[in-house]
Amino acid sequence: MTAVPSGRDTLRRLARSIETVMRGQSAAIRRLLAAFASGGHVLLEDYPGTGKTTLAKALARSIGATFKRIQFTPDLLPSDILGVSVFDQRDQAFRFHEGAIFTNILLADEINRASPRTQSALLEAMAEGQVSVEGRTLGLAELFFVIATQNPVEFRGTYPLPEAQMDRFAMQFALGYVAPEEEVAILSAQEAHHPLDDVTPCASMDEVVRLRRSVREVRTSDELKRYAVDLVRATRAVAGVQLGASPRASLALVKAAQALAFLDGGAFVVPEHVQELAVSVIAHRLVIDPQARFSGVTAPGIVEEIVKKVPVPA
Amino acid sequence: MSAPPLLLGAAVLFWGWQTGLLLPAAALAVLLEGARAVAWRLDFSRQDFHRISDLCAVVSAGSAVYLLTAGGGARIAGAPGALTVLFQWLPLLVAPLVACQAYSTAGKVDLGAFFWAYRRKAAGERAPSTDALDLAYPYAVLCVLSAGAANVRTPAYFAGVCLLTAWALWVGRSPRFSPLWWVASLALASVAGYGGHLGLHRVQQKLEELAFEYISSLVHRDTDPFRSTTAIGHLGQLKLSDRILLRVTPAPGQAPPILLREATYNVYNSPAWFAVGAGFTPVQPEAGGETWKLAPGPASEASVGVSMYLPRGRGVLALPARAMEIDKLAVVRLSKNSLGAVRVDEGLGLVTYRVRVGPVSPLDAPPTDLDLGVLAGESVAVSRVAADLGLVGRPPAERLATVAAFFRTRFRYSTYADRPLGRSPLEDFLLRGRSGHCEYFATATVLLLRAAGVPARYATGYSVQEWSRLERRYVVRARHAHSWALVWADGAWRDLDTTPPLWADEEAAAASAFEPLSDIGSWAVFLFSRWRYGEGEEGVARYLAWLLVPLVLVLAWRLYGRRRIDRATTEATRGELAPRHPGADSEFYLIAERLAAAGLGRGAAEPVSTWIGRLEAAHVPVAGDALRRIAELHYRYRFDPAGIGADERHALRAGVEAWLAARAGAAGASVRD
Repeated sequence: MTAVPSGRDTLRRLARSIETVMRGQSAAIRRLLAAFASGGHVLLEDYPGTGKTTLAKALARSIGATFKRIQFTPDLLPSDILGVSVFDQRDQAFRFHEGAIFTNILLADEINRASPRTQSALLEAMAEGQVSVEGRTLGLAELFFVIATQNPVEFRGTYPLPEAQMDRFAMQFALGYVAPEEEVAILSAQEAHHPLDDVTPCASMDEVVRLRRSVREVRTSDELKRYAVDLVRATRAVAGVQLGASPRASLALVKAAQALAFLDGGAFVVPEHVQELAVSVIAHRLVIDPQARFSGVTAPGIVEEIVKKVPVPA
Repeated sequence: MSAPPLLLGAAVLFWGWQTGLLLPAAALAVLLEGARAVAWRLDFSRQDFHRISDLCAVVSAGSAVYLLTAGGGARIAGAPGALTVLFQWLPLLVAPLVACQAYSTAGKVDLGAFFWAYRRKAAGERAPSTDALDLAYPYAVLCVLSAGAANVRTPAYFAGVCLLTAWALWVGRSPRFSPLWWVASLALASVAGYGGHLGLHRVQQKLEELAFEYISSLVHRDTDPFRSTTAIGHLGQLKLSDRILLRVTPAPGQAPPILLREATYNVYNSPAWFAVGAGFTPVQPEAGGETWKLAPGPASEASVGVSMYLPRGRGVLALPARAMEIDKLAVVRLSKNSLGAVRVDEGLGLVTYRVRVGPVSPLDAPPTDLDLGVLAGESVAVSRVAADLGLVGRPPAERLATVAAFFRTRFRYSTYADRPLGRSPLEDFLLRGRSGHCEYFATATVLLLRAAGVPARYATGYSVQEWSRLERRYVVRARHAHSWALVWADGAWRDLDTTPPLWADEEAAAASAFEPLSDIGSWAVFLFSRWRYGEGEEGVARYLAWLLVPLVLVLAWRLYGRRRIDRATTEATRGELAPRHPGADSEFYLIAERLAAAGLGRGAAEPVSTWIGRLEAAHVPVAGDALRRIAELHYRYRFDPAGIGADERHALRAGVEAWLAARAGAAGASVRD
């Protein structure tokens, strides 16, 4: 066995810490950490009350980093996110007040409730780690992680995220309802107080930065890169798909697979990692033909079919 | 081609054997199976396949037109219809496409070859989808189905189908089970299939009997030589169409109106006439097959020419009185009955014939008691009128004249009928209304004469009276349908038409204003039909065949110009298709091969760990833990770009050997579950 890169313990600690709050969601936690460790942003889409916000907060609190939360509403403005210059009467000068985006971890709650204009304010920040305000370009912190939530039930007063924005998220996944026993355990755990209150930072900023560096060192064979590309390319030839996944999808897929391999203690990526993440990484980037959508075709269904069809190297 | 060797050839030969097209089948079989022997393939493009498919479609459509128009179906194969013959030919008609697939590099046919919509869709896309269909198995199935259309009812067909099926299935059988199991289950399925089709046949026969009984109890068919349902008792306006049914060329010197009789009936049971005791007997054609002598004896030289449509090739012929001989009638089977009806049992959709008449009416049997009977329903009214006229006791000729005069002077023609309550329609006609259409006149005449002791019958047919300036011949419309009485006088049957002659004018007055237009259409249809059923069919066939020659030549030339590609040998193909990836020599593949041979192979898109999990869940004794350890080493060997050390490589080899050795003894049995 080759030496396990340092940083793996950090990831394990984070997983354990989140698991004390989120019961019965180990698969979702694996994905969240894979995205986090690979430097991608996450979009959680699920019904209200399934623990999206709790999951985000548990991750934020487990890291000794600044955490800000924006509740997206229809009247939220880009300046609320990016910041605004205010005229200081005493200095006779404009002073820039930083918005919520200047943080390490940003929870964008119910992101589809804000207008597209406001949603777009996140675009540059998520893709390039910088924001342009009033003609100036301001860099964000090295650790900048967006975890957004949206719920799929409501249509009234919501604005679906534009395709470009969807592509900025490395992963989208749902939490789903937990088993009845787990739900009982959640009730018991919250009898006295919320377990979220007990969560203390178990990883420092430096450790997280080191962790991300280690993840990039996980080895990926050319064959598996080709496999990831094959999966992504297959989405562009499926009937009923208006817009297939971009090369950004294959990039995110390989990066997330590296992080997952790292989490599993491996030094290289295996096909199982790629398959496990394919749906979460690829599906939300597809634009489905309206006609196909009405006939019951869903993006995750398409990606699942592709995973079942494309030959996997073994 | 994906089908096992010789399956296609065998299926084609089987088809040829069953349909009697053994020679083309043998050639086709050699062509298709020969693809396995030749060492080259042609690089057909998508468009080439489309062209060949279009050619097949054109040839099929041409064959269909030929079979349907020229009546070729009936002539070539004897009994079956054109569609059946077309279905039998189908393997030959689509053979070019299958042959091209066999000799193509693709080995499959683009779906656009079958669907225009698919081609259009592909034309609009930058990277059209590569959906293709392997025709090998569908073609084998088509051969078997088409062989069935030959309807050779011997057990050989079922046996052949079973053998071909077994052949096709043998290649794909599951290696997990012993071949004995396979043979047993196939035999069981064959026996069940045989029993099933026999049972199904019985059930169908029974159902058909029941359905026929039920339907015949409901439906009254007209122009039935055994029964004629009249409109006697029908209330309101009687309207017949202007459609032209017959075209008549009378003998020179003969003047209309001529009565053309279709059938005669002898028993009246209101409101229908029945032909009782009038079974049909076949008529044998004279040499040449187009002359049918209805009775021995001399016939006049002059003849009446008639053209009539026969829906579905069957029907009763319209004949003038005293018909002796029918000439130029191209039908397969003809029969006659003792009441003068001549029926075509099998023929074409349009017949044209010439009738020669003789001195007597040989077809009509002499009178019997039935020709004197009046049923109770009408006897009161009829006897009363007969008594009023004082018919009984007069000489026969006088009786006829009296009856004719009675109807001519006291009655009027009308297609409108109303009826008071409590009286039978005929009673009302005779005693009160004294107006009606020909069926009333004819029926009343027959019954009156019978009451007076003169044998009489009821005849139906057409009255020829309208000269068509357009066609230069007489035309007979549906509204010219007529009925009259047949009277036995002076030892012969004579026509007695008591309907006022005005009836024709009255019917013509009710004709549609568009009649001239529809007549032109009718004439065009007639001309087309005559061409279609006429002598021209060999000419048509030759014409069609010559049309195909340039088409085939152009296509062959274009296809021959394709790039020829030598077939790679099997080893080379494998090497080319699967590039040497890192870790390709891993011993793990030995285990994978062993499990695949036992029918437990890994799915193409199934990762190794999922595969092992599946086998364990199915309780296959694969020693999952050991296998997982081996798989882990194998994965490092395969997917770690840093590679593995010599000791780990050795551990992988040793692990595989141990795993295989542990299962060598119990080889198949233990793994086979």
